[in-house]
Amino acid sequence: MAENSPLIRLAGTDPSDTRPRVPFAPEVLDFLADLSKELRGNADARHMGDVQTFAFWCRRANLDRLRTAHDDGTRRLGRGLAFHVAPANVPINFAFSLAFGLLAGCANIVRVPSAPHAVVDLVAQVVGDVLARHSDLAAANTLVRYDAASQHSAEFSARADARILWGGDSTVSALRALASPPRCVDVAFADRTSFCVMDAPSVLGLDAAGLDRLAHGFFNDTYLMDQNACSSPHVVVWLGEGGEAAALRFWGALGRKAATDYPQAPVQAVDKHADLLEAVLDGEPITRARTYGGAVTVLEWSGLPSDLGACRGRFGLFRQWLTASLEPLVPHLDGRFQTLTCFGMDVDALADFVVAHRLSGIDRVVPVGEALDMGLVWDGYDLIGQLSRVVDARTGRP
Amino acid sequence: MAELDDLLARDPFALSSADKAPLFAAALGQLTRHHRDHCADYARILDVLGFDADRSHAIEDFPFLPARLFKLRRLQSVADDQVHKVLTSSGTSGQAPSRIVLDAATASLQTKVLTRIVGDFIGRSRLPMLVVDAPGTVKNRNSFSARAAGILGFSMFGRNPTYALTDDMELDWDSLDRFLAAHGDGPVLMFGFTFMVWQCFVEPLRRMGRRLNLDQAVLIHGGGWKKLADQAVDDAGFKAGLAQVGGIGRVHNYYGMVEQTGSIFMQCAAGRLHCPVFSDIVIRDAHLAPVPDGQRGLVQLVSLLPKSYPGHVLLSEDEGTIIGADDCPCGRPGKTFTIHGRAAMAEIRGCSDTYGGK
Repeated sequence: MAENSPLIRLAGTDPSDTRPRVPFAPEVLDFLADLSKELRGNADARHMGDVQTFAFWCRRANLDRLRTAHDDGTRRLGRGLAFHVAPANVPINFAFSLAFGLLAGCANIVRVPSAPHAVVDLVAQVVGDVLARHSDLAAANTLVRYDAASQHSAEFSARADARILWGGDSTVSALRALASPPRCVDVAFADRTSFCVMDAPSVLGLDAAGLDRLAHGFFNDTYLMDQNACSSPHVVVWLGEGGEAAALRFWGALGRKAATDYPQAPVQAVDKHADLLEAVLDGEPITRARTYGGAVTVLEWSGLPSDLGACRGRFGLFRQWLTASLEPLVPHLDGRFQTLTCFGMDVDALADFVVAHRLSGIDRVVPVGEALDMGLVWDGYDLIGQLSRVVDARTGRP
Repeated sequence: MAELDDLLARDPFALSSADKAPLFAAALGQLTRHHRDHCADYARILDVLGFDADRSHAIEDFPFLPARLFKLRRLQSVADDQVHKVLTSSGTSGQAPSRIVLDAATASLQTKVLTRIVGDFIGRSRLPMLVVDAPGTVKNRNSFSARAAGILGFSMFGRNPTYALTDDMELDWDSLDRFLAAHGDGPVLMFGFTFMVWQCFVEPLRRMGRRLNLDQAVLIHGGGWKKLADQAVDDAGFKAGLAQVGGIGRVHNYYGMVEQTGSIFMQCAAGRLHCPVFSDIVIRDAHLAPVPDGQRGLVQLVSLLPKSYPGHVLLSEDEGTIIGADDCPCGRPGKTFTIHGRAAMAEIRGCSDTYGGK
């Protein structure tokens, strides 16, 4: 462990005031709404889709809606000081992480990824500028950057009342091994995988515009993050009559979309082709591999493989399975599964399916196109609930 | 396998592109059917890709395997008791090595073909040979490196190989002086890896201001330009350096993969890499579709030599451009191309690695 490795403070000050606030405190909503306005008006941020998504999410109207939705009638206060370790490769998530901590009523130390990144640098600077106008929050929140191997994570962990840890299994395990106070709560976002279910007759029934919208939504769920996001699907299950025709129709549309909109690098094409062949040599039940438009590759399964959760693609490599029923999936849906995206299906019915079958996996059912939408419930955690405590009052036994 | 045997018996530059194409495609079909029939994994790959090897195909339509597949899997088209040796290349440190399974026939073919290709450029007589490497490189049989394989492979074109470097990779003046005293006036063959030749031969001589008498030497070098590209040394700069430190005017780069040992592509005096009748290349775009001549893309290497393992059609991660066909000033017919180096790494998005690059 490198001692005295430098710490760069990108915004705010080391939290001197860690007194908890109520969730959705007015000053926090003011700050986030102010931040939203700044980011939406920032000329450099205008072309950054992920920044605009975040800015749109933390606009005043949405915050008010979230506050109403999360009011369960209990008295709550934030847990105190939250220490966040943000992910390197989804740059905007540090901002979401900070917002989650703020909305829960916590003071926050957010470590942003050590490698400079245009999105991180820009948003961090705007956060700093806006914090300067909200002095009470500036004393309780900071963005820092430091080398992963340095001692700072251990120091912040020792002070934390909650830790929000993003990253793969090994990163999360390494961070959880750092000592924290006995009552510290960890919210750990580890490696997860996701899949998609489409109702075949519904896809066959789409008009051309509807098909394009579906392909667009699926493209956003997958290609925007090179299919590496935890919530990006790797397998598409075609349910019901006409699965083969529906699949052909859908992949064709996605192929046209990805051919023009996905800047596939040559090395990614090689990786994808190698992954395809490796899947064949691994003995997955593949009957056929087809490409659509150069950037979409689909492995057609004749059945389910023994280790469904391990079958992951990159850069637009998908598996598909045609079925009349979802029941055969049940034994495969272990705790690695996070998001189920769906089309032509009732999200409540699918969520009920998860509950009725007592599945360890699937925390989230959303329509195709919303896989990457961050929210206050994420990865199975109610983040406001996790990052705050209940102040319970009882009138006494009658 | 009439066309395959026919082509393998030819002189390396005996055919024009137009004459070669149908023979080559037919030979490739024969070889592909051979691997389909003798390697179950390969047969399954063809099946999944929907490739019918019993029909005739143009060479760009044959399925290609990323070369790295041989790092992930041992693929062979011979019975275990026919395995003569397994060539492993260490590749980049930390990566699993390629495992190339050779039977006696394939190993012998590699040597024969290499001899004919190189002979076309440097002649048939075995010249005194100066190896720009250390003797220790080939002595350590436990880690049989691509460098050692190259040195041993090319040593058959020279006699009494002398190593120009000590095992500390310094110039070995004792052996250099002896070599130059004995052969400095006449034709000699030099061989080395591109980066070693530059770093351990050209640069130290330039620093010392020494000029050796190697005016009649011919240098063959290969192994890639990546490290030199980092130092902004290109083919022209490399050749200028060699002229400066030794008057070495005949310099031939070669390109090839350890997965296709033998069927190398040699650079002619006009600076182009040449496809002999035994091998060919296809350039592919970022969607892996073939591109027209003159366009840059990923290099796919096709060789008729690999019979004991299905490595006859490989996709590299190098970028290259086809310059033309049957139009090289050096007079050799066939396709010519140039290599630009490794395809750039892409920034990968996703949420699974907080610390990145670890």
